[in-house]
This record gives sequence, C-alpha cells and structure tokens, in this order.
Amino acid sequence: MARSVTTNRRQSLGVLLATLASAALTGLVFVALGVNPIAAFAAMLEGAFGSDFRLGQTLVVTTPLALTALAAAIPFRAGLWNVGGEGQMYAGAIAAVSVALGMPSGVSGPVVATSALVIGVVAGAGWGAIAGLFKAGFGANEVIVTLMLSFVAIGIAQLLINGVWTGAGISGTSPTIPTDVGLMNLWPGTPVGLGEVLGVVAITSAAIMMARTRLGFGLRTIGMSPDASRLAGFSIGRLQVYALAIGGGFAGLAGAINVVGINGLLARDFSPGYGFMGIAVALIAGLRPLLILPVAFLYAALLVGGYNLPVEVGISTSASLVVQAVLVLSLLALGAIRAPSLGALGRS
Amino acid sequence: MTEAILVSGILLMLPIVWASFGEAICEQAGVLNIGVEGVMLAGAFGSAVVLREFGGPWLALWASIPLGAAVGCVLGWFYVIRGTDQIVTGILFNFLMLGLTTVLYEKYLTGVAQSAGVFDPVAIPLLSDIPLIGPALFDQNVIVYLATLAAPLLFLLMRRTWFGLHARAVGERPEAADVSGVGVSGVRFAAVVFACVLSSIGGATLVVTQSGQFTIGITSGQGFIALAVVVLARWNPLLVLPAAAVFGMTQAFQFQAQSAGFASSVPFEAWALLPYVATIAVVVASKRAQYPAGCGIHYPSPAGHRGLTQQLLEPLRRVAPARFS
Repeated sequence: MARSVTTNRRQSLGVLLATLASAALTGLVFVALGVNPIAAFAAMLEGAFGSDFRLGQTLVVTTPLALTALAAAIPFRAGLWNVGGEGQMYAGAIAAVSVALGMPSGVSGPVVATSALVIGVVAGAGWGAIAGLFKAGFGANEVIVTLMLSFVAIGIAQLLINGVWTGAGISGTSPTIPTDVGLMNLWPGTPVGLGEVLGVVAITSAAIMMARTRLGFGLRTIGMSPDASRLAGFSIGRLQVYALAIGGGFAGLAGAINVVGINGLLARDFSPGYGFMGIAVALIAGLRPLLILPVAFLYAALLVGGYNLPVEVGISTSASLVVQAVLVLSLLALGAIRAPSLGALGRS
Repeated sequence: MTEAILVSGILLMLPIVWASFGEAICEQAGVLNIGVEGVMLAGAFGSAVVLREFGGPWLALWASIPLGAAVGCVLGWFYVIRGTDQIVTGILFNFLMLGLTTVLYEKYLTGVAQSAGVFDPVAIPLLSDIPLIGPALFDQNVIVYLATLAAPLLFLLMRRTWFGLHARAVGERPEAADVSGVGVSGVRFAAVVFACVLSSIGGATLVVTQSGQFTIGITSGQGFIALAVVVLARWNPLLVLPAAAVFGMTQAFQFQAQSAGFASSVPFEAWALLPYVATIAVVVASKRAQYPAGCGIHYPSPAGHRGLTQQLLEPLRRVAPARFS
C-alpha cells in the first residue's frame, strides 16, 4: 500500500513537472515565432472553450480521438500494438460513404444512416482483423502491418476520390451523401449530435466488455500471460484476431460518424492524424477505457484550440501539433506515463 | 521514354535510399525509429534555410549533417537514455517536426523568392555514353554517386568493424552483448545519432536535388516508405539500393506515363499503394524478413556496470583515443 502511494505521488509529480516543462518549451517556440506565449495559450483556451460552438467543436473532435484511443487500448491489453487506428478509421469512412452513396433513393434517411454506421464498423473491424490474421497465422509483426495498412487505406480513399467519385464539386472529397442521411443534432448552434452519444456508448460498452465478459477476460489474459492462457484453454491466435478486429471496429465507427454525422462526405484529409493521436490518448489514460474520455477531451481541446491561433496571433494551426507533441513527450520522458512493454518486434 | 524513367526514377529514390541507410543501421542496433519521417523533415527544412540564406547546394547538404546529429541526440536521449517507448516517441516526434517546420515555414519562408541552387548532373566520361544505363547511372548529380559509394561502405561498417559488430550484437541480444562487456546504451546511442545524420541527408536531398526549396510536408510519407524499404532490403545497405529502386521507378513510370499523354490503365494512386502492400507481403511471406530480436525494446544499463557517461564516451574513444581517454 505504502509503495503504491509513493508511486502515485511520484507519478503526480511527474505530470506536474512535465506540464511545466512543456509549457516552458512551447513558450520558447512561441517566442521564436515572435508571439507572446501568454497570448498564444490564451488564444488556444479561447478557441477550445470560448463559446458554445467552440466547446461543441471540442466535443465533436473528442469522439474520434476517444474511439481511436480505444482502437489502440484494446489490442494493447491483449499484448498487441495497433498503430493502424488511422487506417481502420479511413476504412470505416470509405465503407460508410459507399453505403450512403450507393443506397437506392427510396430508402429512408435513418435506415441509410444506420446501415452506413454498421457497415463502417464492420469495415474497420475487417481492416484490423487482416493484421490479426497475419499475426496469428504467419507471425507477421503487427506494428509494421497495421502501420502499412494505414497508408493503404488512406491511399484507397485517395484512389476512390480521384478515380471513382470524380466530379464531386469540391476537390479532394467524395460527392455529398443525401441530405436526409445524418445523425440528429442534440445541441442547436453546435455540431454536437448523436455521434457523440454513440462514442460514449461505445466506450462504456468497451469498458464493460473488458471488465465483465468472458471475451474481455480472455483478451486481458493473453496480454498478461500467453502461456497461462494457453494452458487455460484460450486460443491465442483467435483472441489476437478478435482484439485487433474489435479495436478496428471502434476506429471504423469514428470514420463512419465523421462521414454520416459531421461532413456528409468523405474528405481526403478529414483526419489531422486522429488515429495516431489516439495512441497517445490511450497511453496517457493508462489503457483504462473510462479514463480515455476525459483525456481525449483535453487532447481535443489542444487540437481545436490550435484552430484559433491563426486568427488571434497569426501563426499556423500546426503550432498546436508542437504543443501536443511536446506535452506527451515530456510526460513520457519524465516517466509520468509509461507504455506497457510488449516485447520485441522480432522473433523471440 | 525508358531512359527518362530510369533517370528520374534514380532521382526520386535518392531521399528514400539515404533514409533507409539510416533506418537499417538504427534497427540493427535495436532501436526502431518511426521518427525517421520527422528527421527527414528537419533535414529538408534546415538545408532549405541554408540554401536560401547562404546559397550553394554543398553548404546546404553539409548543414544537414550537424542538424541530423543534433536531432539524433534528442531522439537518442528519449530512446536510449530515458528508455521511452520507441513507437510512441517516434510517432510524436513526427508530429513535433511536422508542426515545427510548418509554423517556421509559414512565419519566415513563405512569399520569399527562394534560390533554386540545386546539384546539376555531372557526367562521368565514357561510362555516361553507354546507351540507356549510361545517362541513368553515370550522368547524375553527385549525391547519386555518394549513395552508390556509401552502400558498400555501410555494408562493411556493419559487417567488418567493431561498431557494426557491436551494433548488431546489441540489436540481437543486448543481454549477451552486455555481459561480454559491450556498453549497450553507448553503442545504441551512437547508432541513433549516425542513423539520424543519414536520414537528415535524405531529407536535404529532397531539397538540393529536386526543387531547391522547402514545402510543407515535403517528405510526404517517404520516411514511412523507408521503414518499408528496410524490411524489403532485410537490413542490408547493399540491398537498400534495389529495394528503393522499385519505388523510385514505379513513381517515375507514373509521372512519365502522365506527361507522355497515354493514360495508364492503372491510376497513379494505385501505384502509390505498392510500397506498403509489398512490405506487408514480404513480412507475411518471409520468415527471413524478421526484425532484429532486440529491436523495439529498451535495454536499461545495469547499475554497477560501467557508468552511462563512460558508455556514451566509448564510441568516441574508439574513434579518437587520445582525446577521450
């Protein structure tokens, strides 16, 4: 008990130091850009929370960050890296927009929206399962396979946008899906809608699944001790496929929500790297599903706050990437967050 | 047509070649540097600034070397000394460099007419007269020749020198290397710094052999392609050249097909998928395409062994015994 209190105290101290260090370092970057750091941080705060619309925007960005964090966290608990949340999200988005565009015009909006979401989840899960099958069947390293599959999915999105869905009007996007296909808006004046509720539901069910079900137990067991779980009769390969498929499903949901609920089309660059940021969110949250939500919200605030920087202080939005990266790197360097060690990339 | 494809293909594969050289060495020493894309961005940005301020492609190329070493020291501190997770650190480092170069570019470099002093092709007498391969291989800029020279040298470095042997030992079995007296952290740190220098040269190559200027996100995923090339080349610097050529040539073929006006039946975007699909295929199909066994795991220096500072000085002491003993 005493030991865990010390660890907690050391960890909180690490978080405090890391926050101060990253504020100082990013402050220096702002000074180098000729910007008052206080004004810059104030602009980010204002941009993330300053009005109903901005707070709503932050909530909307929280959803894909939380879902892709889940996509990383669940395979992690099963002892697998999923660096491919980005690609699984694109797979979900591609599938959702294909369904929404391909449905015959007689079908009612809610039916189309629901099927687009479901197919999006299935596509994300399938994209994750490919890596799982290669891992279980051929021992192919999942870090490299999920990473490469991400670029394949993004490339397929490009291919479809430039080659199949041409003449969309706006360059770099698919055609717009029918206007009656969408997710109900829940907070007028902001983009917050049913998608955010779906995100919360998904995270809660993931938490319940991991803690309370046989499947969740199996996933945690192969993560903690593959040998013990083999003796207990779990099929490791099958659980590895499930872990990546379930993770991919959540990322796919994020992509489908973006298409159906937010943009109403597939934009080539709809993601500023949510899938990769999700990995950081998952680690900061210590892989606990319920902590993912607040961490994703704070991370989203940094991202959305950055959109205010060009307006207020005249520097690029990308400065918020610097703030995020420095913060998480400081947390890592000071030991405030720790990635679980999953062993080597190579044969063991 | 064929000649044009060969010539531009070699030019396009060049940045990937240098980045892959670096990544191959780093991974053999047991550090997976997913941040290679960010290192390339840093090198490209730095050399573009030098090119604009001082002019001259040579100076711009040289500038990328200390810059790469500095970036390597930062990454080495994370990967080797702090022992932070290599995958997460690398991903965030890429975000950091993308953000930094973008804000600096938008603040200081946009709207200014940039000099385009790039390396011109230098024809090697006689050899460049060979039909087809002559212009492609022997009438190129000097960095092509440097890369051709570097491949066997790096191969020998990894197979025949104390550095290469120690690096491969700490990459495969860090415990075994440690008990036989090799300072794991020192060798890994040196490997990361050296790898970042090579990758930074790759980034600079994008500037000094192509457009002569920086653009936002100029690396456009070439660092990730380098990660793929390294697997295809099985961590062998000599095989990096043909592995990278596959990607350079397909890209060049596409550009040529477009400009020559005959619409290829396979769209450009499909060809862009090739490196990623090929890597997956190789990793899945080949048991020999396995990462070095210690790659990706931090090896903490055991207490009571030689101190960390001593370990870090060890590579320097080997190079210049008089100064560091």
